[in-house]
Amino acid sequence: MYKLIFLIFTLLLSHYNQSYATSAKQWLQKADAFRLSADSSRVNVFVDLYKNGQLIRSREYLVYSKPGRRSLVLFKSEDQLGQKVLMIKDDFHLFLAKSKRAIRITPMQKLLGDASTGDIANMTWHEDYNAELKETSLFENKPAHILELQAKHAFSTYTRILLFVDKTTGQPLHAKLFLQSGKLAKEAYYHIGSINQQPLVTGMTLLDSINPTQVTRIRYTAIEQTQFPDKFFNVQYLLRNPVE
Amino acid sequence: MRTLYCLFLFSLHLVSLPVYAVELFYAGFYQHNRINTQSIFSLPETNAIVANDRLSQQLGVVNTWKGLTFNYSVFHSTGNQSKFNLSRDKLNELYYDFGVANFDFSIGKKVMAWGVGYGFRPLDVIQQEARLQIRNSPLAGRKLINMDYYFPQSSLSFIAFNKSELKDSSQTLNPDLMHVRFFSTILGSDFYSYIQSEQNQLDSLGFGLSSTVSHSLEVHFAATHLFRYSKQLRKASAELLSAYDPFNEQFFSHGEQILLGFNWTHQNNIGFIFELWHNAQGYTKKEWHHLRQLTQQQQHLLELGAPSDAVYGHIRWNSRFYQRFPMLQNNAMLRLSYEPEDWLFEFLIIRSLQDAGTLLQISLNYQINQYLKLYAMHRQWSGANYSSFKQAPMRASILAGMELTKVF
Repeated sequence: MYKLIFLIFTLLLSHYNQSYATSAKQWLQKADAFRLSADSSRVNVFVDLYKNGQLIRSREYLVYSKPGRRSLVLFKSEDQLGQKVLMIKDDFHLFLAKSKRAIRITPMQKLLGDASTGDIANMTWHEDYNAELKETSLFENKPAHILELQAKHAFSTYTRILLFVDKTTGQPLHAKLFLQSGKLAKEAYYHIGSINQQPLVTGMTLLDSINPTQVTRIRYTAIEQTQFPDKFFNVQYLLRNPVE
Repeated sequence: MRTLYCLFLFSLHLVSLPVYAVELFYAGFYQHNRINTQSIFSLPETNAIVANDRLSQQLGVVNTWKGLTFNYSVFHSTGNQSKFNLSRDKLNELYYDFGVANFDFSIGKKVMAWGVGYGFRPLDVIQQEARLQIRNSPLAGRKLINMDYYFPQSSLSFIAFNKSELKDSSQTLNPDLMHVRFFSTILGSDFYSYIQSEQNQLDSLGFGLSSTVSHSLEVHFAATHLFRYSKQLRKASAELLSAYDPFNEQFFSHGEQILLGFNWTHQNNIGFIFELWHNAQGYTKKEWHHLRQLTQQQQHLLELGAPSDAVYGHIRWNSRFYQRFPMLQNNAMLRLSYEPEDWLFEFLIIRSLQDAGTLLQISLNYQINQYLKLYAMHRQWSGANYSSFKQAPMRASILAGMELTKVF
């Protein structure tokens, strides 16, 4: 009899844990839906660097993204025109316009300010991280779930993320981004706006824990569902790729 | 005439375009060379092989539209002596990219840089880009026909180009070299391999690898086997002072080029590259020793009353040794960089391992805005007394300039 009760109790507990885990996954997918609405997309991104409250540099990027953790970042600013970054899973390659050659780079490589290549190229979390629902808290007077994201892959830009999502809508509010060393690298604040009449993340503010006078703002100005061939994500195709 | 032809081609190209974007590039820079009067290659000012001061300007235009790319530049340089004045124009690229079924093709003059490495790039057999120059000029392409096929994470390429063009860019396309290359990304590593043949005989083959081993560290390796290679060497039979150029291209069988290096990037924008390489095409220690002794003997002839014009002429021929850089076979390179936003600070050391020569370089780049960049650089040749770096005709060089890029 005791054995039967123990078995039922274990099954219930396992079911409870499963539903809890699924719930965390669902919250993450809800949060992702605010970042990228379509499977195959083209996103216009601006990265603005502020020092002591003053805008000192702004750069424009165009990001082509496909499921399977594939992104192609085109540099649009005139001083970087023709440069491209290709991200396929954990592999990052930089195509240099002057030497017309793609080189492998590390996820640590920065684009501008505190924006790492991964901050621009990674458009979703659910393919890169396992989520666990930690607790419920208040963030700027809004009830929020705190999700702890652990990287699924060895070379994800951040090994661990504490993500605050709105308890009602699931929209991402705030994230603490940790490096492999366990050190807090930066904090991100998400801004929700409207693109194509959909509520989406239209901006992200990155604060560096070491250099508080520096603020990096990432703005998403247009998101377009579009189709493009898989060879866009082949390293050797970077030289040929006709997209500008 | 060639300039007019290029401008004509370009104007035709523009007229045919309903919408086009043209990139204009201008660079102006000043270079001061401190002549090494202690060098065995040292010559009096009237016979000097290196300008003390040089002011240069470069103007380039690049346009790509529907697969057709045009890249043209003109260069003008004024030295402190009129013999150092130089004007040239170059059609760097003119090629057409197109696709048929699942294959992609290129035809024309195109830059085809390839492979791993910063200081030395063994797999870059088509482009053979000059590395570690005091200032990098826009690359000039090779005349070729190329076919690519892309797999999900791999690619296979066939490239036909002419070998003679590597020495003389005026050659028309008459391919005698066939190059087949395969690239693949597997488990976080890039694998490069190629095989090249000349008139149905193996010319060279190579393999390369680049892998990310941690969040901050990339390692790379490349090796090529040259079935046949050449160097500019002095003929063994040539007399100490001969009436003709005693240097010619001498051929060797079976040589290797090997590169090993890593690239470490810190989150605070600090980068660190270290490389070691062996290049069979460089001079051996014995060949350098022979050239050094020969040059010393020729300098000594002056004291014995030999005609100075003949001696200086020979020393000028000998100093062509410095056209290939680095000059000897075994070298190490360390590059430390720091990139705080618009600035780039670089510290570079190149060490010639066979004769303990050292080259030190410090450079600074500042991107003022989207269009304008300023840069300055100091290069110092030093090391053991009879090393190839210490005996270079220049002791130090300073370069300062600006680059302007505008897209219309």
